[in-house]
Amino acid sequence: MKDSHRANTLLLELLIVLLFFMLAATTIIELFATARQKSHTATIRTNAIVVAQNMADELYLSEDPVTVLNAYELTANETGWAGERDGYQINVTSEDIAKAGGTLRKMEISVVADEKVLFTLPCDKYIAGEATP
Amino acid sequence: MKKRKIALGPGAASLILIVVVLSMCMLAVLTILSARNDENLSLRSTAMVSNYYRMSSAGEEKLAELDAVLVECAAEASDDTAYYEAVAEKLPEDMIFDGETEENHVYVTWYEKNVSQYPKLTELEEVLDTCAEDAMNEEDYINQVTKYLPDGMTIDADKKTVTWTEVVDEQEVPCTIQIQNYVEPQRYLWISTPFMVNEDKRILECTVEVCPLSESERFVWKAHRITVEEEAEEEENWDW
Repeated sequence: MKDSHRANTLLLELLIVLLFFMLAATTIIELFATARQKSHTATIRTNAIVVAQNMADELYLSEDPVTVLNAYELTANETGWAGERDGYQINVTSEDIAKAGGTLRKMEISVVADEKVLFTLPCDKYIAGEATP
Repeated sequence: MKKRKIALGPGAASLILIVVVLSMCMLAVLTILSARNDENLSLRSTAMVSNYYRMSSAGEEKLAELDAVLVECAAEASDDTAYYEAVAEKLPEDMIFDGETEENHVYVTWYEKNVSQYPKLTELEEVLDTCAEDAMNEEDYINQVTKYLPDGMTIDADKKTVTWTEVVDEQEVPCTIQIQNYVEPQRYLWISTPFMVNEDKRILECTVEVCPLSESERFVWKAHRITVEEEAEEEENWDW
C-alpha cells in the first residue's frame, strides 16, 4: 500500500516535471532560435559589407563599371544589376547625371536579406569633361 | 542473485529538473548575449563604412559644383591670374581657396561631415540648441521648444519629454527623449532605445589642385582622407 502510494506520487511528480520541462524547453528553444537568427543576420551583414566595400572601391576606380559588375556575377535587370550570394542579394543601381563640367555617375549598392534591406552604400564618382586650353 | 534497487525518491526528479532548466537558461542567455554583441558589432561596422561612402559621395557632388565654377571661370578668364581670382570669387560655399603657396599652386579644400540618417532627430537637436541659446530660464526654454517643435513631434511640457516616429531602414521607430536643463551641454537623454549615432566625429577632407588654364585638366585630386575636426582645423599649411 505504502509502495503503491509512493509510486503514484513519483509518477505524478514525473508528469509535472515533464510538463514543466517541456514548457521551459519551448521558451528556451525560442531564445536559441532568436539568437541563431541574430547571429545569422550579423554574419551576413559582416560578409556583405566587405563584398560591397570592395565592389564600391572597384566601381569608383573603374572606367567601365559593367566589367566590374560582371566580375561579381551580377546580371542586368530593369532597375540595374542584381545577384545572389551566400544568403543575401546585392542590388546595384546606376544613373549618369550631366553636370556643367562633366558627368556625375551615381551608383548605389544595396544588400537585401530576408526581404529586408541590410544597408546601402552610395558610390558616386564625378568624371570631369575635357578641358579646352 | 541480489536484486539492485534504484532509489529515485519523490523530489529527485524536481531537483534534476531545476538543475537542467537552470543550465539551459544560462546557456540560452549566454547565446543570446553573444548573438546580440555580434549584431551590434556588425551594425556598428556597417554604419562606419556607410558613413565613409556617404561622405565620399557628397564630396564628389561638391567636386562637380567646383568643376562647374572652373568651367565658367575658364571661359571668361584671359590669363591664369584672372582665372584664379574669378575662381576664388565664385567658389561654392564651404570651400576654402588657398592660393598663397610658395610654388604658386592653387588648392581648394572642403570638408564633408556625416549626414545624419535620422533627419527628425537632427531637426530637433537644432531646435534645442537654438532655444537653449535664446532662453532666459527653464520655463522660457520649454515654451520656446514647444513653439518651434518640428512637425510630427509631441511634447509633454510637465515631464519635458518629446515623442516622435523616425523611419529607420524602412521601419517606423518610436522615439522619446527627455529634455535636459537649458544650461546643460547635453541637451537630452534617451528614454526609448537610442539610435546608433556616429560618435567619432570623423570628417572627410577633400583637396584638389586647380590647374592653370594651359593644362589639359582643370583639377587634380591632392587629398581625400578621413580626419577629425580638431586635426583638420590645426593643419593649415600643407607640405605636398
